[in-house]
Amino acid sequence: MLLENIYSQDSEQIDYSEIDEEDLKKLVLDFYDPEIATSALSELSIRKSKLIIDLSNTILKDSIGDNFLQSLAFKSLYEFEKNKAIEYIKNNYLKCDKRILLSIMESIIIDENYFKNNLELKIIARKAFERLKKIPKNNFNIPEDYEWVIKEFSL
Amino acid sequence: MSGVEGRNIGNYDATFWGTNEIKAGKPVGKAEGYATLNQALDVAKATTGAEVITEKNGKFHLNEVRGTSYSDESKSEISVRAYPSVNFSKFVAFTDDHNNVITQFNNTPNLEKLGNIDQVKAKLAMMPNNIPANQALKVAGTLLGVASPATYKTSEKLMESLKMMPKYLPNELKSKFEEMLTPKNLAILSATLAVYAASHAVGVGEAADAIMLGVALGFLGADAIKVGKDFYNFATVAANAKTTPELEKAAKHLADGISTALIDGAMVAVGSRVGRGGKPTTIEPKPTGRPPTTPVEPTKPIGRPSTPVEPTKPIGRPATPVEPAKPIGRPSTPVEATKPTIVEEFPVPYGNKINKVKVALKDDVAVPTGKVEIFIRGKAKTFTKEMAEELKSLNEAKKANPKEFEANPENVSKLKNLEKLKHNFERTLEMAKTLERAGIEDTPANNQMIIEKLLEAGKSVTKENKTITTEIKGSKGTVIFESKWDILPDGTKYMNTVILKPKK
Repeated sequence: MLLENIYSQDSEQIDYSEIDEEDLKKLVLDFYDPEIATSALSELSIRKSKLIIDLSNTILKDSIGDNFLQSLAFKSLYEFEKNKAIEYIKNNYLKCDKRILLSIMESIIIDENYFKNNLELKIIARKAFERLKKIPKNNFNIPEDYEWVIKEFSL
Repeated sequence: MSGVEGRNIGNYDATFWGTNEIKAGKPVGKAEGYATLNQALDVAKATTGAEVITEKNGKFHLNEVRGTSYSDESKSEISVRAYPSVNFSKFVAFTDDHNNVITQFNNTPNLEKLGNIDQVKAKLAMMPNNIPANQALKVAGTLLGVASPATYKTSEKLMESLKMMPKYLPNELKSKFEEMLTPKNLAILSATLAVYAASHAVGVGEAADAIMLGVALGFLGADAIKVGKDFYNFATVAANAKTTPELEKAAKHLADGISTALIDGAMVAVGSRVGRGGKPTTIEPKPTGRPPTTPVEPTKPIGRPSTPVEPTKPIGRPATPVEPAKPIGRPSTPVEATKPTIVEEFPVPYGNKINKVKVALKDDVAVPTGKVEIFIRGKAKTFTKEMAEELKSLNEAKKANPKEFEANPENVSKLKNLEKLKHNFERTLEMAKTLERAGIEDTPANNQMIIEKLLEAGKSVTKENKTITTEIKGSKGTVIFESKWDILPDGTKYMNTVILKPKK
């Protein structure tokens, strides 16, 4: 019922808290409307849904949606299943899209202590940072995010 | 409550009762129950003008359009009921004395011809307020698909008959006429023909027939008398039709006349007159003789409420502007495209709600203007500087003391919401950049051009294909517009969203 005509609404008009988890998952995977898909993924994360780990993993593994959805999926994965997120970093930090790289760096900075105490991860974090630094600031839609990472990274 | 009510008992044996006069139509005329179904149906039909029994797939369904006035006359009620063969279904739309449209439903999952209950609700919700009872009757009847020609205006009868006409044409002409009879052309032709029909009611002769034929349809063949007669029969039979078969009969007359005219070589005249980009658009009738005594009502599409609501802020669908009649055959010069209409508050159903959206509307295609002028231009204020600051401080708080941060669910929820908004905002900025890079600057002219391209794209939307890809060239590159559409309950193709990608 709530899904009917949902796509004719602006994302901000939808009350995602009224939609059940399976339907939210469907909205994400359909990626029919990127804004709605992103909001649905965020809602699952807010609810700490059991679906969020597998869903985030699938989005990243199968490159579902766009870089913005995948960035959010990475952050969700990092929050709820850090090991899998670290695995993703290890395998992708040199080749992933710049927007996802920025999300990776944000997560690393916020969870700095975890990386500090692990040499392998510290090296990966530094390499990822080096890659990010080479990307011109104005390639990011919100350059302030980039500047924040450059300023805060201290590993 | 009183009126005419039907109950489905066994093999269409039903009892009916009625007391008060029906405000929305003619008086019921009988105070007590009716002895037979047919008797009751005759009364209901005469009262409401609706076909009360319909047949579908060999099964008969009793449909009823009911009008009721309460004894204290505080309100009138219009209801339409559909009785599928087994399950009782009911759908009621009624107006009270304050001219509010109220809806009421019984527990039925399906309504014949209308789809499921949510679709009915959505349709009803799109009905404007302030419609008088007699119009509510028609709207309700139309919604259920039971409104009959008896309730139509003359121009609407002619329009319906015109729509039926191509199927009676020879195969080689059918597709040409189907193509020609667009909703807008139908509107202009039926309005014209209504004048003709009215003129005939006061005795305008065959000369007027011929002139009208020539002017309205653009062809007058060698067998002008036969053509004129067929045309006369079409217009008068359709104008006086009370049933669908009568409209069909009228359509056959018209098809016969057209076939005769074309067989006799009138197509040559058509080709010479309109096929070269002449002006077939000015089909203003100028009947000879006395002017019609009955005023001709402006043409409005059937199925949409006919009462205008607040002219400055239309709530329902506005009447679409009349498009010039399309010439038969291929014009040698391009026909100027009509501009879309801007509707400030276009109703878009969602669950039990109706959201109102500013759209550009052309034919049955609607594009929310904000999606072009704001959304893809990165101007949506969904992520402000204040939000960015708040997100930054939340991230810093999380970094400084993760456990304390996580312990406060409000913080976590706020952070995630802001992250979501940021990602969505970034996406719109990306699209804006894509347009800029292609040289499609943010100007009113460019945005108008994009809207028109999307309106064009929307024409090809079908139930099976609701994602349309369009390429728009700029001075520096090409952008791929992937537009995503829904078909609203009233058939409008509505653009939900659009995703832009640079063409590599």
